[in-house]
Amino acid sequence: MSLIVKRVIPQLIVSIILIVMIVFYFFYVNKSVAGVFSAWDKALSDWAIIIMAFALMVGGADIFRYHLIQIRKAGMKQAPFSIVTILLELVMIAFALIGFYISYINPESGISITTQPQFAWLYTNVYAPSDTAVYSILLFYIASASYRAFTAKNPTAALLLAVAVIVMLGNTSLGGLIWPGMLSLRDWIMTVPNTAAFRPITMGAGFGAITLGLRLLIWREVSWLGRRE
Amino acid sequence: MNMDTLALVDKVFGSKILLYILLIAALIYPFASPLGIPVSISSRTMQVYNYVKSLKPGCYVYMEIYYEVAARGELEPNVVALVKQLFDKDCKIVFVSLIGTGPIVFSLLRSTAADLFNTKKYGVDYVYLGYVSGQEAAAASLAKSIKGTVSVDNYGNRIETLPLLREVDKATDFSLAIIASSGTDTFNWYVRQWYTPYNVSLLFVALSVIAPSVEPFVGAKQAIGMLVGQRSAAEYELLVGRKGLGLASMDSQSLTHALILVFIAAGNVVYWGKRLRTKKK
Amino acid sequence: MRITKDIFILITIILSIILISIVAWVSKIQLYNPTRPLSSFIVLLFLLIAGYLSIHRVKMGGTFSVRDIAAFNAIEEGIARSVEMGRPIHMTIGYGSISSSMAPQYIAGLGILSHVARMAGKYGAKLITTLGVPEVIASVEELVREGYASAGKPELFDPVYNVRYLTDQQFAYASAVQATIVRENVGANIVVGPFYAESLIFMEAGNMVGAFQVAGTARETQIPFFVLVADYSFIGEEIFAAGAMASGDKESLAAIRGQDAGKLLSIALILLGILMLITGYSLTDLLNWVWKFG
Repeated sequence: MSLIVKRVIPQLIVSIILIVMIVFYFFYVNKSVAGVFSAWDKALSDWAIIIMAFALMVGGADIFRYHLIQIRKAGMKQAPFSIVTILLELVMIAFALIGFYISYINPESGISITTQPQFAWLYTNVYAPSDTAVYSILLFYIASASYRAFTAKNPTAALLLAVAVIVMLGNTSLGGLIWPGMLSLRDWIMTVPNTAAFRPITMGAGFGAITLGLRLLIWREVSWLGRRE
Repeated sequence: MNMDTLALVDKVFGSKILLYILLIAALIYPFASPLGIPVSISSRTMQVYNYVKSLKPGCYVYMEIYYEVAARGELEPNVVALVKQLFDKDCKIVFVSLIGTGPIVFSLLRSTAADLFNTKKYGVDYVYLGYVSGQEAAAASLAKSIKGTVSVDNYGNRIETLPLLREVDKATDFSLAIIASSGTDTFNWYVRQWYTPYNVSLLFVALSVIAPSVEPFVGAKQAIGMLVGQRSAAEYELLVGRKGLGLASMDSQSLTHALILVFIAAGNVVYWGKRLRTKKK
Repeated sequence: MRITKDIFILITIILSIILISIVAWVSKIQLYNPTRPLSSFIVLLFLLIAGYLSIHRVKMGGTFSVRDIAAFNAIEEGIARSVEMGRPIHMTIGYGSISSSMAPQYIAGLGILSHVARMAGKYGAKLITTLGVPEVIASVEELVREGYASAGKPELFDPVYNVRYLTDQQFAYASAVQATIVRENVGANIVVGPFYAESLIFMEAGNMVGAFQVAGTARETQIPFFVLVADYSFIGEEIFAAGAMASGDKESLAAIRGQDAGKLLSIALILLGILMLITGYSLTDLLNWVWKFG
């Protein structure tokens, strides 16, 4: 019974959903059948979002558990950050309760980021600046990675370096100043060699995904079940 | 160059602290004191501008806003410039987001381009449908029928009460679909669900880092063109005559890129200096 | 090839599809979606059949060789080095939702995680798995637990230490991974899955602490960054092959021949397209043909 519940039923569900999604995508038959396919397709996507919402609750509990233990055990290296994390998590829960209350008073407002002022405030004044700041760190990391890695050790590396220089200059106002043809050369690099390099990688990734789908369909891929074989 | 000099150059230029300090300075200085480096217009941006210019005045345009706040710096200036050009032609725009952060990003877009949006009437000249869940399935559903996909817009107004949405309903009603996205998947969705079945003209607005992977679609003529990052935003702002963040950032971008190139050159000098010295020995 | 039960079922399915299609065409039934090119369905079937036949061939005793993927072999090297230095190993599979189009890459990452967990058990290494995908928390705990148990060291498994869900938001996830790598001073950093702009942030963090780094993604835009920063990289579809290699199941691995069949088909179509262009015809028109009446 345990094996049926732990392995057979989940794999059966996955196989059925895989076949059903292929049918929804490729088949039509007539307008009403196609309408049903379309509705069910959207329904599956919506169910996935709902499952994710519940999974996020599990994740939230996991974060809580981890950081509570860290406050006790990890010392000053980690504890201050864990305290901040837990406080912020409690703030989100409090804001969510406020949101429920607001939507209870005024059902038309719903619970969305634009109709709930506390979420809009948190997003605009806390999350958005932090998000942008961390994204901006990439500039420094790319610069230090470039210094380390862009050395012309061999002809291929030298070619890579030359192309990188042309594209970088083409993306700035300096490129046009140094040589008027820089922009056209950059455009040519992006449309011809770059496309030639990216297309096979994209195709290969697509083939790999289809092969993985096959392994899921015939029950040979079980890592997602938490098993190795 | 002797080994001591090489070692000194390596120590100086290899120091991350120096690199980071110089980068910060190169970023901030042009905002305090603009350098005014002239920006030339590339043929690709010109091609997009001319295409939008050739649209019939008063036509309908669909615009997907699919980016988070972090990507605003690169994408929003492009979107604002496009909105300016479209509004100048009295085109009507239906905005939508297939990402949860879309509504807040759209409200930030409206406040950035308040001068443009205030001259137009909501519901008549533009509409924002808000976040539509379902990703690719939502894109397919919107292509078939907007009224069949959403019943209210982002602000709770029923679709039937919005005059613009009485005039358009499906993909083929639009002259152009503009996809401003910080991810690659969105472009794939619209190529599959809007271009392939309905032949709707697509225009991509992408981050510089994403652009190479989206380039094949443009090359295959599945999109009429692409605006990439702040460079395209600066060029487009010059073309539409509304200077904004794109143009303001170009000096900063140019200076930081030049600095990185100097460090790369120094790294190569050190590497080859050491290698040649070792060979001589 | 001997006609076994599997092959008989496969032939029956293919013949049924062909027969139903013929009947539908003759009866003018709009069987297939008129907005999707029929060629995409045919190519999908071709790839699935090619992969299945490869698996079947190995099941019947056939052999095939797969080239070594240096990054896959390097995982064990990285783990062994970390154990020597007395430092933990870190692995992450990315952030987001497993119900997105990136699901195959998350699953490939889980496959490699099972291998890493087993290696961690074998060497007695401390494994930290950080997650940005909430749906797989339970699966990852099971994989890591099983990894240690299979090496006879179930006592090393600690769900709080070994599996840490962070967040599903991009840069919050990047910050948290970066913090984990630096504060735990990891000796090996293994990063396999779908990654976006945040990947360079924690790869550089790994570089800062001197960690041995193995990275892989099928997201084209991030491959150059991984190649630049990591010691070893999986490029594109290699992560799917590595996921199959990690399972240790030869039949699963044989399915990647389906990928090779797809590539051969693409090359053939490109060459055919060029030839047809020379003669004034367009292969694209043929490939874009839709099942439509009237």
